[in-house]
Amino acid sequence: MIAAIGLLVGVVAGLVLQPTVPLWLQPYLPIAVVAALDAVFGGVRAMLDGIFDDRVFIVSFLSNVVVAALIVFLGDHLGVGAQLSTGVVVVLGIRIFSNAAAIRRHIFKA
Amino acid sequence: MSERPRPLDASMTLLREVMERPLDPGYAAAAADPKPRTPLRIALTLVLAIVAGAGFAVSVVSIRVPQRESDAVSRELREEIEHRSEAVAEQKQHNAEIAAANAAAQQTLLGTRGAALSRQVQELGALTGELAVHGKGIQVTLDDAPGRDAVGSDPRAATGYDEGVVLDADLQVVVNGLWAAGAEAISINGERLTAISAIRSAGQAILVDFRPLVPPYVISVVGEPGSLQSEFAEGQAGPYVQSLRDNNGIRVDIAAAPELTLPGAGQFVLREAEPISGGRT
Repeated sequence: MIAAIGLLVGVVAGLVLQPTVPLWLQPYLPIAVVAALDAVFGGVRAMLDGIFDDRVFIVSFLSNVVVAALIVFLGDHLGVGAQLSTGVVVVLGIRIFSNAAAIRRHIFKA
Repeated sequence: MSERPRPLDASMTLLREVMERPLDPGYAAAAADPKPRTPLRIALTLVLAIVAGAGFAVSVVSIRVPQRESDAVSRELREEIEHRSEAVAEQKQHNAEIAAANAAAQQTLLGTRGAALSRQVQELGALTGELAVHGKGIQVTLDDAPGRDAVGSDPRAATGYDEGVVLDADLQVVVNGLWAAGAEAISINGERLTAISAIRSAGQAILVDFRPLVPPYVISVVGEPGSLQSEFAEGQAGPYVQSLRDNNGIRVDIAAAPELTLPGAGQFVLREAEPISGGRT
């Protein structure tokens, strides 16, 4: 629960403060957001499964974001940034979809 | 995939277990082997959660920003252009007022020294293109071939030579032909041609005295309409215009005008050329 509350507090703080993101970070933001969404869906599903753990959630959240950004960074430097971004989005998209499906089964029992 | 508890290398699960198990195995591992909840751990979790949330929110917000920024910049530029254009119009108005005042002052100054001098100034002014003139004449209108976008709308859209476009050379030939046909004063789209005027192109735009023109090009000519038209047609420019019309699809229209008013080019200063004293040679 602490993680969820902290996340909410952070979101509100980010929206209120709205600090400017350095330009060199901008290319990685979209992928990072998708990765964060994946972690959030995973967390919700774990909660419904009854095995939610704050620590795991936070670690998976941060590592998802960092790894996704790192992959894009690497791709940019290897000249395949667009392709790697697509790969990451596909992988995360599949995960988000199946997690969302699991959440749906939990809630609607269908 | 083995079900044994594994270290929390969540990063590796990201790609490996996408298809089989979208849920992070870390959750199962943590559930199977719960860690004690120490205050330090809770605090750390909270801080990291806040950081993650803030990062998430900021990312989402800043992804949406650039578009708005570019909008703002383009709006700013547009306002700047409008603002500057207004300033230019004002300056032009101001210029015209000063020129009129100049002419009036000259008139009063010369009036005391003789009407003949004053008339000479007027005539020379009209001749050089400094002063506005009016009289009967003809209007030659050249326009790009139909069915293509106006060049002036976006100079970069059309690149390279296009057959149906009026070129600076075309205008030069036409203007030369008009001078040869006995034109006394010529203006193109309101830009009066003087003894030191140049017609040239910059990119896709045609400049007359460094002012860009937009098609259609209306060449107003003061002179005797009948002889102007016939001599223009008989001279070099006549066949040239005919071939523009026939081969390139450029629209050329020549019409007599009973009364034309040509603006003055304003006072221009000769910096190097000085008249030879002692009269004409």
